[in-house]
Amino acid sequence: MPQIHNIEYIGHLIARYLREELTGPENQVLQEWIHASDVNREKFSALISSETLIRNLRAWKEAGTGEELVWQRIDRYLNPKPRNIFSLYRVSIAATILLVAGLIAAWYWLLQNKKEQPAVAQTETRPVNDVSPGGFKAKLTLADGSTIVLDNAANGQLSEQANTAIVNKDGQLIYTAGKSNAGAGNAVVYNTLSTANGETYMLTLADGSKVWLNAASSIRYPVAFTEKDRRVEISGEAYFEVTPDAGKPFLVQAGAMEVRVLGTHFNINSYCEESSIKATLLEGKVKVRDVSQGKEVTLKPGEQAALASSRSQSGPLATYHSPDLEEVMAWKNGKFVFNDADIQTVMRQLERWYNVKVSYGYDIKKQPINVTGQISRFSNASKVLDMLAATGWLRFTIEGKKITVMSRR
Amino acid sequence: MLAPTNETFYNVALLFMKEQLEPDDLLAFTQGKEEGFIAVYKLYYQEIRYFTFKMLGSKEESEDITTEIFLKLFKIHERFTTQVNIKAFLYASAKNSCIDHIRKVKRRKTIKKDFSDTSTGEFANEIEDVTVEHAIIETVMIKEIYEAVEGLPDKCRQIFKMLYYEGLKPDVIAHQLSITPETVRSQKRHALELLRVRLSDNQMALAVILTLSLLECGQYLNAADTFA
Repeated sequence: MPQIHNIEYIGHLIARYLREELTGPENQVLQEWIHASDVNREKFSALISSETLIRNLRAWKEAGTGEELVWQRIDRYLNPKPRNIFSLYRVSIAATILLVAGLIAAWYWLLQNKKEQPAVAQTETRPVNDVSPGGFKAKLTLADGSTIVLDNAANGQLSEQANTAIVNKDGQLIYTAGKSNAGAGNAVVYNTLSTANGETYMLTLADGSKVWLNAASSIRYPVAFTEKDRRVEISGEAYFEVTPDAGKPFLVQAGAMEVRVLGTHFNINSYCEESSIKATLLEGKVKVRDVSQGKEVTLKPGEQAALASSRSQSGPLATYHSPDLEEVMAWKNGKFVFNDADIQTVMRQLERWYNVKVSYGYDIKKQPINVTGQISRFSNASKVLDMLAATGWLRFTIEGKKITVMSRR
Repeated sequence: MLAPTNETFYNVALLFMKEQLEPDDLLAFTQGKEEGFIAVYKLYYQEIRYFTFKMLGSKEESEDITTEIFLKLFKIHERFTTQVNIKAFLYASAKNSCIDHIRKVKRRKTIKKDFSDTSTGEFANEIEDVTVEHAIIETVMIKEIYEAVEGLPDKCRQIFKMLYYEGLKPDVIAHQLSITPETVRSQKRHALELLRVRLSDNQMALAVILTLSLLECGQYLNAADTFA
């Protein structure tokens, strides 16, 4: 019996043989192995034949495709989820109800389809697994709690409150103050404009100030500015172009941050899932105050103030002198702009705009991945993901409203 | 849940720089941290999956056994302080699991056929050591060639893959990529030159690809094309 070969080494030598890289001594070792037995000789000639080589390369590629799946199986053993019988029971009931509802819906749908059968073959070219972008929609909540759904199709005067006309026109909600000052002295009436995931809207306040509302955001504002200052409250992200009025300062409250302005252009990003609330000034001058600590900074155009959004990690109010303005303003300009942006922040933006759920492959969280690129916000999700995938590190799958981010091998 | 005995260990080595585990990851592995498990898994999953697939000839069974092998490894993580030991364990336990599995299947078949009285010792001999060795050799070799393909420049890698992995004809590739069939052919020549793999016998390789596509995809292809 010959002593145990380093059999791996033989594999390495055959690869080198195929690539015509063998040195003399290496060739000798390989030849020895080949001639050691008939089965070795047969194996060698099989391995180097084009047919086997191509088949084996394909099998290798195929073997790689199950990596994620097998890891999920392993992970289930490593991190077993505690089973809650009660919730399992509830889930199964819910599943049954859904199934029954689904069957009924499917039945109706089939009936409906049968009636409309004679239609010509569909010419839709959009891939099945894609998500269309968000659009101009919002919900207006009036002072009495009633709500109106707004979109860019339904135009016209909605109502008149506190001597102010409210008109919906082309994806914009416009408040126009009446000529007489009849509203003065009365109790202030507030309205709230809010967008869900996948929605955006524009608003002109009674003083002529303009507000752009990003997805998953809201603004609460007085119908008429009868107080000594103009005070609004926001959540999510909004861009403001405030009409100057030296006698009536304009105040925006976003979480623990308060921005005081005279007349100016600025953006506030205060999504609670992001790590900080950021106010970015484009024109004019603003004072940004941390309400909980009482600290205040003054921003010059092109500067940004940031405040940690959760109590636990509350840091001081920080000023950044050169934030990436293109990136900050991209949403308002109808674009996604990512300059070396962290993938998780990027995907949160996509979640809000495409109203999708994003999950990550098991190995993404390990290393931080940054991406760069820009694209119209009105592209389908697949286009945006293609752009992100072009960075070379990532690949994506879309299933219904679920996007999975994986690293590319 | 014992580690395989010494005699079943193969003499493994870390042949390539790429195969080196980061010291941090190795330490994390020994300490039983998930990032260490992931690093080891990423390094060896494909090899073990391919090896078990070659031994068993079944995708599903190789998936089950690969899962088992890594779980076994992770369970006794604290015993491994070197990467070579991890790799040796993976191969040894892959071999043992495959042999066990093949034995079990054989026995079931034997019982069905009602051939009684076959001593268990004989089953073990049915899978010769040389079969295992050849599977390891093949795994290492294919891994190396595959990685050489991955290292090709973008354009020729894409064309190589479309030709050989997907079995597409040069005309189809030319159409899909909006380039001329001549460019496809020259990129292919370039790829083969860079790889220096002996696939360069054009007619032969093309014939092989067509045969494979016929067999695997059941696609109808005009035989005349083979020699076009």
